[in-house]
Amino acid sequence: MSEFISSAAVVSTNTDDSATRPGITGASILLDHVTKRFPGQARPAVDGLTMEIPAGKIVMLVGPSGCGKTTTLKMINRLIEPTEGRIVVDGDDVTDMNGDTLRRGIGYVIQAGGLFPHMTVARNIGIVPKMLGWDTARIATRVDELLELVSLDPALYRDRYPKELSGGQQQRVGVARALAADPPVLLMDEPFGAVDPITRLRLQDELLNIQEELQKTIVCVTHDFDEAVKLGDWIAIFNEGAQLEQYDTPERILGDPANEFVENFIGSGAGLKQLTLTRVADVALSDAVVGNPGEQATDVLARVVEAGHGHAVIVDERRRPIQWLSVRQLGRLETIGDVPDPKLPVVGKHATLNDALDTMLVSSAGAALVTGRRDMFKGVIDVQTVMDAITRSQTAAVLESDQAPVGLNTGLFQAQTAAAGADPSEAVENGADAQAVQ
Amino acid sequence: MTTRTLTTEARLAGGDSAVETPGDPAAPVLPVSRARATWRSWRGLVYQLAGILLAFLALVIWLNTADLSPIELTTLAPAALWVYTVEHIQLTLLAAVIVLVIAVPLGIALTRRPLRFLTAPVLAIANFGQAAPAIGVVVLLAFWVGFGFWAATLSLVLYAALPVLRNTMVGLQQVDARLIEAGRGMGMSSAAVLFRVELPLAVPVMLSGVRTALVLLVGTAALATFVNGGGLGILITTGVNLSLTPVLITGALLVALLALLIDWIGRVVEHVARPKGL
Repeated sequence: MSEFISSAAVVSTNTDDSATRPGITGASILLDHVTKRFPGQARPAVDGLTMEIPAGKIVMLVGPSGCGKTTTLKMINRLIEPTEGRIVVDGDDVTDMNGDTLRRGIGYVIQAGGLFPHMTVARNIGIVPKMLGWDTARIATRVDELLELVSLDPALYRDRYPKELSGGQQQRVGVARALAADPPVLLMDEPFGAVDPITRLRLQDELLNIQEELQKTIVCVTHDFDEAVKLGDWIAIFNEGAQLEQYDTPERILGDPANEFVENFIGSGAGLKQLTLTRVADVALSDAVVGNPGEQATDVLARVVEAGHGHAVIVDERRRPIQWLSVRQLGRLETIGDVPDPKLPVVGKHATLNDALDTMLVSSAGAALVTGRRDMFKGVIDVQTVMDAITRSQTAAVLESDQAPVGLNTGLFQAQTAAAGADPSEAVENGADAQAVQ
Repeated sequence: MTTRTLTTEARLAGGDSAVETPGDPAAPVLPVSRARATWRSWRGLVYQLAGILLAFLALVIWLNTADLSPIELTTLAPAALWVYTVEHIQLTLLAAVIVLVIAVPLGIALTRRPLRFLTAPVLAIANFGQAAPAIGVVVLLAFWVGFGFWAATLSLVLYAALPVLRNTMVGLQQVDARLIEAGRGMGMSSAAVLFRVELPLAVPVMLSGVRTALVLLVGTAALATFVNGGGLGILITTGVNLSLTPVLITGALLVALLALLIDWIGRVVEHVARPKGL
């Protein structure tokens, strides 16, 4: 943040109290009636957009291709200069400051990392610190620190060239490079678009972990609505000309889409998408009959029958599940073995319901075992639990919308008040959007 | 991470950190393969040099054993041959230096945003100009600027500038636009992006343009003799005019060997200067 205060050409007081909240290292961003017209194009790519991005939050920009979401993103670090309007970062108007200086204080991640192939991982990460005049030792320490942060072993990866890394690793280095000078704001342009689905999920989880630790302000463009739901604290859904259709929490966009456009954009299966919003730890788990290796199978079977269950969970001495035996399997056994079943359907308590559903669909039991701290067995989650959770979160989302808590649409509320001096038609449009959201 | 037992040879193994296992298939590769890989990358160059030396040796042996007339002996005296060769190399190198000084900055300028609209037309002209016969350029220019060393140099420069210009532009154009954007997005100025990203990545293509130009220059410098520019071309014209076949053959062979040698040097430079990681 000091980056901006020291380098901004415009002297301004810090008006955003959220930026000074402890823990948050991010800075708030305000797009104030920003318009971009490209030469030779009749319609503006971004038309009078006012949008507040709260400090320390992840804001996802989604919308159909050509809707202006990438243009909007690039106007924040002025890779694309706005035709009209102001950009305010952390209370400082940065519209007229030197673009290169501005960009050195904002992290930027593009698809596939955008690493320079002729530089090693360490040199790639050290680019911005070097431009900022850090000494070599400090850069080296920072590089190692960042590689650790993105779960790459510094000793192993620091001297590699990008072509010696997998797509996921390149993307991680891309994130590390963007974080190198500890910028308060991170802009990401379809960051995980070029990696396979499994790596993408892992990178998303890692980004969330990093964000939990650093609390930067992250603005991320994606075309993948599921990614937006998973990562975003706030989601901005754009229509052509960067018209904000809805700017809201994922829960409320899924539970209460503002209009037909948003509904169509979410697509079918909004209920399924809500599964990514709820963690396994948030739902009630069923009990299970627990047995230990070495017990007589008949004893365990008797307990299972008594409880009216179909299965028994066998746990080891540290209560980690190792087997999941059906009544029929128990009937065939004499004593319970201690060989762990590698195909056991286990999910951690931090997994999303979506992950849990995936796991239980491949297990023969139609349910999954939930483990907590140190992989200790906690209970069983089944399809019915998941269905109940969907129904509940849908009603919950609607209820929440009815109360319409002030602050959820801060950007748009401010837009309405700040719109006084600007084009009235735009203000009305934005105002209409804000009301539609409620 | 701690259980990782990868050797440095496994560095090229792909895969995500979390899915890589200690039993990586690339791990058992021995350091021997590195020496072998080095040899493989240099093998072509070693063979080319050996070929050039062998051909030169054959020429020397043939000149020493052949039954040559007194005129031929005078023309082909080692001292005379040396003078022609030095002249030839001077012409070539001078032209090459001038070409580099002109064509590389011009190529860079023509790919910058203000002049970018000129890129396509200039590339078209460069391709077209390459098809013009060299002898025509040499003689026409000589009539314009007068006969002699400088006329020869000027026409050589004009002729060799085209591949360097073209490859500079193509080399810069083929740099992934996303890398340029990544650089600008990190706050690098456009000059920093040019010198630290675009030019290093364009080096292989640019160097191959320079090598092409040098080879063209060695060949074309043989025509300098028509405008009294000196060089090994004199052996060829003398050989033709006076029907001295050994002189003609020697001249032609020396020009060819010189071209191959310059090509070899160019390849070595390319091999060494290619940025690591590409």
